[in-house]
Amino acid sequence: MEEDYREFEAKTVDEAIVTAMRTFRSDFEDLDIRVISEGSKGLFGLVGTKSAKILARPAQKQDTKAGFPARETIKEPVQESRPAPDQEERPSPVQQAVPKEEMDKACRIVTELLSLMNISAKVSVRDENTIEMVGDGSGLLIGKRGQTLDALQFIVNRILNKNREEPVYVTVDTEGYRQRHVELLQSMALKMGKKAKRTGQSVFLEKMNPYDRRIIHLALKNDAQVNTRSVGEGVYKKVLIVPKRESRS
Amino acid sequence: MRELIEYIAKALVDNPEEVSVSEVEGEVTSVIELRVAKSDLGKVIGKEGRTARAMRTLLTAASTKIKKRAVLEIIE
Repeated sequence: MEEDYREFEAKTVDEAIVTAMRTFRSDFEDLDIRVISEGSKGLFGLVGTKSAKILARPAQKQDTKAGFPARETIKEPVQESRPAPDQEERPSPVQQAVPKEEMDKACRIVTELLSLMNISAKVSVRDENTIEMVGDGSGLLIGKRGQTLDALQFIVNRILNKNREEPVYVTVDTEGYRQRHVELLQSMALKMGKKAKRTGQSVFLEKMNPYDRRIIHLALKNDAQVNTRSVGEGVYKKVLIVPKRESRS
Repeated sequence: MRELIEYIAKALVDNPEEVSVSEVEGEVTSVIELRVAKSDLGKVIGKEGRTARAMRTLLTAASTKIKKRAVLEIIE
């Protein structure tokens, strides 16, 4: 089991994977990768830096089509960076209509939260699943990379769904941020896809939540010259855009 | 600030009567201490700490507006 693996060391797991891909001249999906150590930046990058270590080998050809049976023998599946199908990125039920009484309740919760935060904004129900806030336009409600808006939305949905059997998913929006954000992600996906094709090298995007990753995957789905994969653990993963080998000149 | 965390915590837990929030105010930074019933700890922390993180984000947004800082401590 262990013998064909080669060890790769780099500052981060991502870099180690890229080195492995270059060494074996393989695409990400043609490699068996086991993460040994995640690495650590240490204190200010000075004290206690630990490099990331992975083991990689070309995937057994006969296995690749048959759903990676090699995987079962791996003792710590949690540590793996294999591009397993990402459950979280399945089409989300976000688009479904939310019952009116739940929308009204969401509206009241958002109003209450904003008033407790000392933020004055007008809150209303925009459509069957969106709560619209009109504030002073300063972006305070959006926050860095939309994190305040996402936090607000997360808390509202948590409260709404506490005693519900069938969960509802309410979107909270302000200043047209959601739409702008999707367009931004799509244009970034296309730009980075082009870069991957031009350079023949894989491109990592920054860590994103499942919904954002899904937008990236969908934006590049119909591009025959690149593949996309989510890499990492937890809610926030990176999307890796891999140029297909035939397209490299 | 205290009321914000109290409202969210009470709305999320099964035992709202056991929620207690205290605020230790400093000149710039205040510390908000949240206590809940042991069985409700998971409710205010959330999967991978997402609920706690969301509460902290809202706290930061609210305190930025009044040019202050607030940190949330969940006390076990």
